[in-house]
Amino acid sequence: MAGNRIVKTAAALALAAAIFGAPFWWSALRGMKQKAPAPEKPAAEKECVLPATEMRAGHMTLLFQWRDDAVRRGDRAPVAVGGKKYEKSLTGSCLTCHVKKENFCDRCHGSIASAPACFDCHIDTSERGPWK
Amino acid sequence: MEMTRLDFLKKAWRTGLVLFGGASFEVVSGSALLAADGKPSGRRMAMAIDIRACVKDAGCVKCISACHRGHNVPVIPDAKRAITWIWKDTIDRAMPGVLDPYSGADLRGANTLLLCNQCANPPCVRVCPTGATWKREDGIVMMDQHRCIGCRYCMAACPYGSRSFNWGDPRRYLDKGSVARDYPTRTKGTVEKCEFCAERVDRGLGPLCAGACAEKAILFGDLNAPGSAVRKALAGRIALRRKPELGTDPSVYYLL
Repeated sequence: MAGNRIVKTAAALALAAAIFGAPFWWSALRGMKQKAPAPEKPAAEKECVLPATEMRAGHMTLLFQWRDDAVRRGDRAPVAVGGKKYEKSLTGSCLTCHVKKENFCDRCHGSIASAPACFDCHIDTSERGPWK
Repeated sequence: MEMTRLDFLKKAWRTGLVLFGGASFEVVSGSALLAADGKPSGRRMAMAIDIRACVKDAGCVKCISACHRGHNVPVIPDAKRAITWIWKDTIDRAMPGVLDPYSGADLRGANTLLLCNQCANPPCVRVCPTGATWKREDGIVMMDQHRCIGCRYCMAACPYGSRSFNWGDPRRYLDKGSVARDYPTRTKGTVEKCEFCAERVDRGLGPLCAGACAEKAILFGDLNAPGSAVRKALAGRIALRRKPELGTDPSVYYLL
């Protein structure tokens, strides 16, 4: 009796692993690979506020710092990097180079299913017409 | 040994916990804002609205539209869901009991401008559980939309009705083509109000409403600076504030 129960449990576990693991073994069997997202780079500008690797890893920290400086500390003095001045502003600075949010932010965020709420309030300057 | 409630209170009293607890009241009493000589330190942004200059053109809404356009405040037809940062109402409703049936006949039934009073002792700030609304060092009572959770405690606390709640997505009433692109909109489930144009004050500019007024009826400046436009106006005129008896210490004055 005890042996029967072990077999049944093992079978149930195997079935559960097969069902819940489907996304993994299915894509592994078919040799599917996730495409690396390709955010659109600005045409004219080559330099950002921080080096590209640091921006890639920590842009959210920088945005939070700017947000806290501007909103909470009232410190809206522009940030000078390499002779260029950047306003501490998402629409006023970031979107002036990365013109289309859809072609820049959304490319990576979309591929990893991350949905930051920035543009619920901040305005994507590339958009026109009524909001949905 | 089991401790009864009475035992606990006795011990707490003896160890001074109850006494020290009183120290927390010091923090909110506001005395920290005064320098050693008892004079106020730092700036305190304030506004003086010249009622008589304002009532000259009863239909004028230049200041309101400048503010609402500049801050992407939606025009929502349903009055119960409307968003207002600055609006007009009768003097009698704004400052009940100030007018009597005989004096100031020209002001009876006339409108004046209403907006957030930027209180020195703001009840909204006391009740905000997330720190989404707070008083800056220059006295401006700010809203941080990033932190607002839409609990509306601040709306219940505000004695002036200066705050509005976004019952729905305000963007449904705005157009991408005509919004002020350098200023964000708000989102569903957050509270908003006049912020004395803090984003402009930080750049050394005055509020949009003051700039839009053809009659120059809206004066703006530092209440702690004797030479400021507001202080000069207050020195020579009688000024009223809304519900001063509540102890909120408003920073918006109405010049008579």
